[in-house]
Amino acid sequence: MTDAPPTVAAPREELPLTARQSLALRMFGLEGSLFQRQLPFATGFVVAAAFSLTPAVPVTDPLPALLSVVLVGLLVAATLLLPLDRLPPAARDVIPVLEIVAVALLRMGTGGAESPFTVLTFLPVVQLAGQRGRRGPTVAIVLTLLGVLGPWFLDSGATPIELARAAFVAVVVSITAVAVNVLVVRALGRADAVVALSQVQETLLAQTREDAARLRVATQRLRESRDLANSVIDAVTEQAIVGTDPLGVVQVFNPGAERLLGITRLEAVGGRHVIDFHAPAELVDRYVAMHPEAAGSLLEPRSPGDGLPIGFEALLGAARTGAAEVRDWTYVRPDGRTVPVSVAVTRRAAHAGEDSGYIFVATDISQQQESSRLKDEFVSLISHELRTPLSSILGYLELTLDDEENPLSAEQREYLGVVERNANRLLALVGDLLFAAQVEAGRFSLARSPVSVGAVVAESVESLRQRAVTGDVELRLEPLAEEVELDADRVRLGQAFDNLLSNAIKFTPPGGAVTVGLSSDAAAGTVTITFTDTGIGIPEAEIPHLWERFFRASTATGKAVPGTGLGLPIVRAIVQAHGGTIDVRSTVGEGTTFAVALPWSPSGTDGDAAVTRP
Amino acid sequence: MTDRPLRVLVADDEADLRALVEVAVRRAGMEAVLVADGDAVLAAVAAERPDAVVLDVSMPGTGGIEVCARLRADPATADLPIMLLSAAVHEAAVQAGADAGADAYVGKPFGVRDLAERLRVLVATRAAGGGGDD
Repeated sequence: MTDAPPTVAAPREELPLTARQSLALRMFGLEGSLFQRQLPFATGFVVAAAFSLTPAVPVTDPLPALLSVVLVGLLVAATLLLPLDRLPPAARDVIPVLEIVAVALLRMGTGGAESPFTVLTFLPVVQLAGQRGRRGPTVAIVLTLLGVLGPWFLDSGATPIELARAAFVAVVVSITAVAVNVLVVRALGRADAVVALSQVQETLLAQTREDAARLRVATQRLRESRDLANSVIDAVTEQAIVGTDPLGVVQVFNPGAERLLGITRLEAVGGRHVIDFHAPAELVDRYVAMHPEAAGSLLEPRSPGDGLPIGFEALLGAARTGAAEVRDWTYVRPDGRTVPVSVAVTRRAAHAGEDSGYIFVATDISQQQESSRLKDEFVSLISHELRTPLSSILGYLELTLDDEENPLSAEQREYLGVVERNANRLLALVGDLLFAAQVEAGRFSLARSPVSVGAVVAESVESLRQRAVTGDVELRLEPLAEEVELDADRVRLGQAFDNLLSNAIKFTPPGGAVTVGLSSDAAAGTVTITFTDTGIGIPEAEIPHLWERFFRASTATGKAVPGTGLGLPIVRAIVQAHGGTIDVRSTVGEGTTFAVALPWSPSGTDGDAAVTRP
Repeated sequence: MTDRPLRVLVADDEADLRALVEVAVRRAGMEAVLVADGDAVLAAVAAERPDAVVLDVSMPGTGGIEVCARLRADPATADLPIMLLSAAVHEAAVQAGADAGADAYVGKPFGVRDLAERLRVLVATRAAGGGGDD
């Protein structure tokens, strides 16, 4: 890039020139700084001036000749010393214009029309014409005509031949100016196109570079997120994470899976099918459970099912449709050992709605199974080991009390009554423990039949009336106006009412009262049984804990009221199993109300619904 | 046959309870043959030809459920009235007893008077029903 634009002020970047092109342009004063561009003309002018000092070209009029030399000297000095390059093109055109004037003056001083220096006009003319637009050539042509023909007008002594020669020169110069202008404009146009093209290329290149950079960033991010996901998967060592393609071929296999299944990632990824890890019989059984029509046919996990091997179909279950699928399975290790696992299956999200595969997260549940087995064992041990001696105690007590041949004294009878009561209390505790364990294990079910709520409540009240009398507690039953029949487990419901009523009596000081209320609400479809006492109450903060096993209210322990903290959890389990709810309201020192609400359909409308069951 | 009292084979590994059941059997007007485990039941049943069997469910060796099933499987004893005694009173345990073919399932602890009554009913029902059907 030159430090100054060529003759034309290119609006945009310019093409770099070859050395030869540059030299040629410089020779014609079309390249370089304003000063450099004047050098060809200045050189020609100096030569002309030198010639005019010789007798060959005599100076006819010294004044214009001298003026022309001074003018050219000033012009060259000005272009060299003044910052004229910064002027706009139109202003810079003044230089060649003045040069044409200088040539005219020189000609006037060296014989006018006969002057041999007319040809010097070409250089400034070319300089003017060699730029964009028509202004340059026009100015050049006008000036040339003036310059060439001017001396003739001034010098009336010119002959027609001289005039013709001058006119001819003027025409040639004009044609040259036009030709140069056309060529330059065309060349510049082409150069512009090339520049524009190169700019387009430049833009495209920049865009490509930008895209590449963006792609690099995106790739980097993708790699980072993949690394993160991988590191998370790898950090899970307690769960086996197995990822498969839509057909079940293993693609992801984390260290937890290596540990649980006893095979390495290398062995697992690529060739193995996820069903290879499972006990085959379980998969087949599950498939048959899902497709009862397949029962009886000779199946193995790889049998073709609904587009997938049946074992894989069984394993996926609901996950195939994107739903949650968690199930217990058995993994088989290469060494033959089996591991009970709970497997959560998730469909992997894909872009276009198609499966991109499945994730299987397996948790070893052998310890869980072991501890639940131990608990079961413990409960049955308690049940057996405590009930057996209690059976002897109660049985022989009965024999002793019933012995008609050897009747007991009243005192003995009273003592044995204490023994019997406490043995029964122990028996109730064992029963509660066993029942609580069943509730927790989810193995507790109801034996439903049509039950009259009023009758069950009345039974509870009667069975506990003696205890109320003993504790000097008034026991009131507010009977229900209508008969309410529920489809319920009579024994369990009675157990719940007994528990609540015995609690109410137990926690009410002598002189207090316990009221059992019964009400039905046909609109809400409930029957509500309330147990209200005037007892010691339960601190509000402790109410939520009442349902926890072995929890005892501070007011109860503070007054040393006996109990195990098993009663209320059992009551709630029974109520909830019946689809009911239980609420507590209590004020310390004033009393407590437990309200059991059971679902009920009034017999007047669809009473059958209440007692209907499959 | 008719002159000898009805005979009940009682199996329980707990001597105290065995004796308690014996009292109940006597009160029911029957005669008790006591054994301590399931294998003894299977060995004694042919010789004693009991009219009913009372089996404790959890005994060392062959338990009551299995003894019951085996007695049911043997044509000679298939119609024998069988009562199971067990400390396990949850539904699944009772169901297991019914599945094994027991006629009655009594949870421990039991009342002596109550057990005597149930024995009487059991034998009477079996005698009436079995005689009529077969």
